[in-house]
Amino acid sequence: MTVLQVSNVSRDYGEKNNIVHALQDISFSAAQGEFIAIVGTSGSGKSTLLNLVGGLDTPDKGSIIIRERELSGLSRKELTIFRRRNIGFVFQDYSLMPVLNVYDNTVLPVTFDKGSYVDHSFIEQLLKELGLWDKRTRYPNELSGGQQQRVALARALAAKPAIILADEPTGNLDSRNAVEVMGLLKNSVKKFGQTILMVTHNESLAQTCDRILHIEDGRLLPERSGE
Amino acid sequence: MKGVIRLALRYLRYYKSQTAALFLGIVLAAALFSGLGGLLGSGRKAAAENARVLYGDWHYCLTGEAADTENTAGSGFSIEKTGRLYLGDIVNGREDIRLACADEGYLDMMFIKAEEGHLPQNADEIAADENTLRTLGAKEGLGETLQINGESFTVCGITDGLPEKLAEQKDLPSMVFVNAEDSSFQEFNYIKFNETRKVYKQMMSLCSDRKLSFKELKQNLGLCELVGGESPARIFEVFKAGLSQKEMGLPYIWGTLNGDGALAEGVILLGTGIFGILMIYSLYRVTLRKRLSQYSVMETLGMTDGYKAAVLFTELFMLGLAGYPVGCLVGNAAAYGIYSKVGRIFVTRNTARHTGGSSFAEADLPDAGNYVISTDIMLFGSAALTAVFILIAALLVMKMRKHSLRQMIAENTDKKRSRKIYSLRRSDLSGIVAKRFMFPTKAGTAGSMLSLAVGSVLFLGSVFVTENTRRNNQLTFKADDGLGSDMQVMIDSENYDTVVSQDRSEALANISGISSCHAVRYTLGEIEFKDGAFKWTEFYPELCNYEDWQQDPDIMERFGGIAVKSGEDSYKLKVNIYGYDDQMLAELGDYLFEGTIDPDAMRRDDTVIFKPLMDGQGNYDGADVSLGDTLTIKTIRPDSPPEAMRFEGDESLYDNDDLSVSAIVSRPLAKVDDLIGDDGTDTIDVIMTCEQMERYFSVTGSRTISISLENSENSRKVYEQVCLALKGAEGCIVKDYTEQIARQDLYLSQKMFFFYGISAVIFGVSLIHIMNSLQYFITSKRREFGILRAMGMTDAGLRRMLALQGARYGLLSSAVIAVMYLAVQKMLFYFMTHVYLYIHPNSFISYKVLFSVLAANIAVCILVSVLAGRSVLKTGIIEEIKE
Ligand SMILES: Nc1ncnc2c1ncn2[C@@H]1O[C@H](COP(=O)(O)OP(=O)(O)OP(=O)(O)O)[C@@H](O)[C@H]1O
Ligand SMILES: [Mg+2]
Repeated sequence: MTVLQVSNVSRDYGEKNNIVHALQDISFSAAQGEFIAIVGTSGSGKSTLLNLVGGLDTPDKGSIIIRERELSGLSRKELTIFRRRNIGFVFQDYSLMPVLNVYDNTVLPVTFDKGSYVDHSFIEQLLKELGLWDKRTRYPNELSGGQQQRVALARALAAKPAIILADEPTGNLDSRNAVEVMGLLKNSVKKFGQTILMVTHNESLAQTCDRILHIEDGRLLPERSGE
Repeated sequence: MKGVIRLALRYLRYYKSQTAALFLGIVLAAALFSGLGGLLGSGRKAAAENARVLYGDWHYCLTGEAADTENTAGSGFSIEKTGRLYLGDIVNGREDIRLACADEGYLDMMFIKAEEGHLPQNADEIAADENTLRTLGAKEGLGETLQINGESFTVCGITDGLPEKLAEQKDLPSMVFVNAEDSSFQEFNYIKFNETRKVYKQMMSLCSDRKLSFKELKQNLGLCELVGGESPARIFEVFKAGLSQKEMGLPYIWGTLNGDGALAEGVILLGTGIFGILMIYSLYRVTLRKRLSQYSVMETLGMTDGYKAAVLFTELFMLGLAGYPVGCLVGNAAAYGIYSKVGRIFVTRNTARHTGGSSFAEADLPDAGNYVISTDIMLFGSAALTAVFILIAALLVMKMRKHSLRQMIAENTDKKRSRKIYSLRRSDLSGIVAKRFMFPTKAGTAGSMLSLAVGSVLFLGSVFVTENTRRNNQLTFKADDGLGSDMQVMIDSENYDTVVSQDRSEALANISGISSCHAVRYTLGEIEFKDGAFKWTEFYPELCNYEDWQQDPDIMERFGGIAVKSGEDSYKLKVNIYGYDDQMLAELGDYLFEGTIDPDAMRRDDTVIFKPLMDGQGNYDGADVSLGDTLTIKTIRPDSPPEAMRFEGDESLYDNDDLSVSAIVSRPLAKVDDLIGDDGTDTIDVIMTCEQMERYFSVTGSRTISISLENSENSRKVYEQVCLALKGAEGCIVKDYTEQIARQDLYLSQKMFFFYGISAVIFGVSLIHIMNSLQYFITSKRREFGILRAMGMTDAGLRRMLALQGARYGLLSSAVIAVMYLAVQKMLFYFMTHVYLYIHPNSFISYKVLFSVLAANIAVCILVSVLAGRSVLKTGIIEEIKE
């Protein structure tokens, strides 16, 4: 089943003279349960793509359809609510709330949904699996970069979203931890039928994914099938 | 150095909006401070000029041995003018007139010229002022021959008298100028110093230079206290006396040191200065958190503490360098405009301490002169500002050193943090998040709240004082100066039973143009306070044995003293007894301390109203009289001789009546003070209805009649008719106050207007300040708001959160304002009752004003939060997160 459909999406930055074509005519789709790696050189447009898919930014051209909802057709409020119910973000710079501790940072997106209640046993399990449980009352600035990255990951998973958009979630982890986190993600995908788009610079981690999207200069390279 | 400046400039440019706010803050603070300083300084200068005319243009006078000192220059003082006066024998046996010879300097200082003729040139010529000549029996004036101490002199000139206030001083004789200088003449050496330096210090230098003793020195108090004549030693003495003697206390210290209002002005300026500095600091503080981490990064790159401090200071200093002069320019320009319009409201006047019968209304309003820029204040302000900048830079560097680098970069300086997990308890975290953004640390919160509150507290304080000043002025005028009525008829007679008859006063009411006419019946009485009921035995000089404080011999002669000891712990006091009509009794309600004023009940139950003594600190507990007490009032029977006023003669001269007290008031209306209380000291009064006066004492005549006019325009005509109607009545004077009332009202309304204006400006500035800091707090958290939005917070949710937060901010600052203000109000109330002796000040500001200020604070906080939220929502999420 197709969860995500990206068609002919382009995004430019800047004005006339120093215009940057961050993304040009991107099309692809992702099925439920797929674990997709996105690779490409620095500045090639990977983060831009994730932001567009997550509805944080709007494309200049093209359409993005998630779970049969066209994002550009949603109002601001609908989009916000749609995002918090369906999409989990792991930002490249973590973007944690400095004034909340690990636990509260993790459950933050869930608390925005008045209807849903926080599944504390699930959060506990999540934090334990990420090795953050005994650090749950610490604040972000009392954590190492890798620990912060794992908190960002926990936060993205907390609401059990349909799609997880992760911008280098293992960038600051040693290879052992990186592999563990990958395992956790794969488990989550299996358990909750989630779809993951993960940006990574780590070629070997990318190889363990279901598919790899190559982006160069804002363009998607043709996928090599059969890998 | 160049590097420091370049870096500082870069920072200023980087934080553009903060720099602009800080610049504006400095400009505003400088404008307020320099403008107010200029206004007050100009007022002082004008007061000094007025004092010069009234007291003479000199500072000190050397007498006795010191008088023949040469007035040559010396170190530490510079003499601008000198004058010598030689006083000779008394004239024709009169102690108060003496022969005199003066040099030009002296005449110049005292503004004495020959109005007619010329000053004596030959040995047989004299000149004197008109009054003195008349006293000496001169009839024609110029050219007349007068016998003086057995010799004949020709009057060659008529001069001006001594300056008005100087002439009132007791030990100064009137002078008859002659052209002979005798070695037996007593010499006086008058000195005027250059006023650019404190005259007191110059006098000290002169004394030590010439080895003079202070005993031989007289000071021109009226002028000196306006040009720095206060000796520090005296200030110390005053403090010592005030603190060691219980009955003196703070009111004494303040009252004495603030004789010319200098202290009050100082406090006003200090308040404005502190307000300005707090504002500047807090403006700077809001930009701090960002800067701190910046500087910490610089530190990792090898910046020393000194360099950091230098950059910080340079930043502030450059802003100050640009902002301060601009502010001074704006402030002085505004002050110039204000001063040229209503300058006289700033001229210092001693109106606060008068207790009755004094001449506020009679004196002309002061001359304001020109606006003078107060360079002292501006220089002082710039020095203070520089010092504050240095302090801020040093404090910040110290703060940076105390916290570790990592803490700094993490923008967290709070040590103790809550370890609670909030989401276990509550389902909404946004409140916590917002609260922690707004109030990151306790110290920071307290600091910003304080700086936000100061402006509002200043505003409330000045409104409170202004309200009460207005009330006090109205009540004082009505009671003491007769300004409650447009016209007054008074009796000028030393005899108790010289009165305007009832027929005459009733006839006045029929004159057209008069809307109402209240005749006050009057008689003199005596009350005995037995067994310690009278407590202020030191109130009257005749009860104490002080050598340098004696009751006026005239009063002793006529009354045998206002107070007379009649036994162990018993005293007889002379009192004024007034009979009012019902309408005046109703007006007396404004001055009510206790009890009720009900004319019908007074007539029915034989009760009266008691007015106790008031001392210099606004206390009224001199005599132990409370509601329900019975007063035995002794009055003089009609047609008794004037000696009966001593209350000593045969009992057949007097009546005794027992009357009980049903109300206690602070002032009488239409006061009679030419019998007892002539010297301005307070008296005990008993007030009753007109009918009671007649019934008990057979008094039907009145000593004062207060007249209100239908309109003040035809006062001239009414005045003439009143005079006509009273023609032939003994000792009758009619005073038309209409013009003075109009002038006074204008003066007061201008003064009130200014104070309301200044406080409104301060309040406005403080609101802008609140807006700025709140706006900054919110925009500095854009990234975090971006994250919240990315995590799924809706626009409405964000707006709600910010509005709530604004409300919380407003509530907290309102609470701080309320608490701070209540403390300030308590202090002000104490000052008003015990130092400025306000009549019946309200102890609480009107709720309307207080609640409006608090509500305005909350409303502004909410409004700013909502507006700032709007700008947050306008920006894209990605942009915010990347910030
Ligand atoms: N707000 C912006 N304004 C202008 N140009 C931008 C903006 N954001 C991104 N770009 C440009 O768009 C291009 C793509 O940026 P993007 O962040 O998507 O790269 P990336 O592939 O995520 O790189 P990295 O691996 O370094 O994170 C870059 O050339 C970048 O300079
Ligand atoms: Mg990126």
